[in-house]
Amino acid sequence: MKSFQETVGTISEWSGKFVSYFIYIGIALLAIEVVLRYFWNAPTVWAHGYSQRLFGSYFILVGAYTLLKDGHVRVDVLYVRYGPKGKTILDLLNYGLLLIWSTVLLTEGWTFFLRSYRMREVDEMVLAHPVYPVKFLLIIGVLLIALHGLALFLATLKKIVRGDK
Amino acid sequence: MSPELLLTIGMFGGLVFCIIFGVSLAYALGGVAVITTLILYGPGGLMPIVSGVFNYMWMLLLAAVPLFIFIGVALSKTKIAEDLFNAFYLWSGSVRGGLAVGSCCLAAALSAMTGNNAASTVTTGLVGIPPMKQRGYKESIILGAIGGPGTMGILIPPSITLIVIGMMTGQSIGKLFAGGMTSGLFIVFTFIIYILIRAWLDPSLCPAIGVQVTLREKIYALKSIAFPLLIILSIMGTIFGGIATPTEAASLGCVAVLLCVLVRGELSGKFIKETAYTTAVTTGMVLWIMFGAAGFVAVYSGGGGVAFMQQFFLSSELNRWTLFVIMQGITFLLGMFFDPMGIILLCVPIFYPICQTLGFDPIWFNLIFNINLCLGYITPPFGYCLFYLKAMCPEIPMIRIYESVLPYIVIMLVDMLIMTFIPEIITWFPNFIMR
Repeated sequence: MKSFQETVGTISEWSGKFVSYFIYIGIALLAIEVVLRYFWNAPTVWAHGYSQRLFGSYFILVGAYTLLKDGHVRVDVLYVRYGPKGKTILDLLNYGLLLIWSTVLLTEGWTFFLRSYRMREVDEMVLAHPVYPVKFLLIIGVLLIALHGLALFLATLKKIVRGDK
Repeated sequence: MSPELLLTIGMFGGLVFCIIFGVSLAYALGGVAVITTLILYGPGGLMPIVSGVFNYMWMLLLAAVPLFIFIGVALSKTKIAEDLFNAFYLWSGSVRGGLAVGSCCLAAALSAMTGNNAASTVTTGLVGIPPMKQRGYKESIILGAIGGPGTMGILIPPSITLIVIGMMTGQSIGKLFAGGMTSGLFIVFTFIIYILIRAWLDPSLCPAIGVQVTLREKIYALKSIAFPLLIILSIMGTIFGGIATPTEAASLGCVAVLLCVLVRGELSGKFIKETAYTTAVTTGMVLWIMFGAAGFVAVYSGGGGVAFMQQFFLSSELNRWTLFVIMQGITFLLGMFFDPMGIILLCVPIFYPICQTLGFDPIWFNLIFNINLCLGYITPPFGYCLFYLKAMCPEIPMIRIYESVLPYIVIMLVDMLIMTFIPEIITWFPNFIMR
């Protein structure tokens, strides 16, 4: 049980750190595009399409890392006034809602991806490259945060069952 | 009771309940959307919740959000802001209240380089608080001069809230940025006037520094303006000059920051790593709120809620200015509890069509709305900037922080009133720069 939580934590940590570096690739892609267009009058067809894919994946994949680093900010005005038991119940509500939402994103996301994959969906720009890989990464990003949410939910539940403080 | 009213009360009631009991805004939005869909349509209706998420992932304009966050994070890890404050210090320190004025200017300069309030408030605080304390400034002056101007981070361009507002309303980001610049500078100007008047009325509040600074030293200090100027020009110059889209301009800003850091010899492996990690966490927070809101708004709108609210406002037969005040009042109230990104995504789909029907200037309307969001950062009980201030001065009780920023809230409300009567403060620059 403990090891499940630890494993999930490690996955979130490493996936998050890895994805963090996407930002540098994105900066380079977009800056190169401006330079090529402005100084050489030679805009690319791929820079925008691929920054779009890169940043889209970045957005969804950093969710779990943000959760790990406690970055999904909460209004704690009432929270801080409760005792340990009250806090545990509020945590359960918090992670419970995350679980409900991410489960739906996961199952519906799968259908969403399959639909796109079956018709080999491409983007509507000149580029016309496949869109479904990004939709696949949507599932991965959601899976990461769902797993982390599940681990935290179970850990909180255990506290209640055992009556820990 | 009509079903739409029931839907509105149910969804917003559920949302407020969750928020008050400490649920993260993103999960609350997403969770309420799922539960409402299951009650209304069953599992068959859940698809809009995920397709809404993908829509935002696929929006290249939103790539500007992590890029502007990156600039703020990178700046906070260098000494660029410290050097800049030093220049302001030498130029205005000999005036009573000069350091507080310097803090205002620093906050404005940082706002012109970054897109959110965290960077402008925290960096100004870290740099400005110690010297002001050392010179015997009273805490109300210190905290106010940081908390108030710090909120200009999302008004003075670049601004991630203006980008999202532009995305949702289809208005030109360049025009919104231009309006944000003049209105933001106007507000900072009124802050400075206020500080100078208070310093003049009560000399003990914020004494002048006794040391005389030579002109030579003052001019030498100006060299620290070069780096910030380069960063600002690489962003704003390329947008206003029509050279780059806002997203591209943001990437150029990142390149400029990295260059400045390199030239200053502050670039290290640790810098590259930590800047990337912090940017990822902040981006995750902002984007996941948008993902949750995408589902929430899709469900609310699909249930007829948005149309119902518009109908409700427009059929009320109230004067257009009364409706304007009501809309801004709702935004102000929401700002006390919600994250600005959530407010934009919830309110703009309802308010913006009303603004168009009533014939308000869209740029002006969006900017007044955005200034209102700035206020949300310093209105109790839950203004982010208040917590930043608290974190920097843990020894000062929260109630003193509320008191310190209160005058700035009043000034901003008065400024909004002035800009309502003289809309040119907002509109002349956008109209001047872009046809």
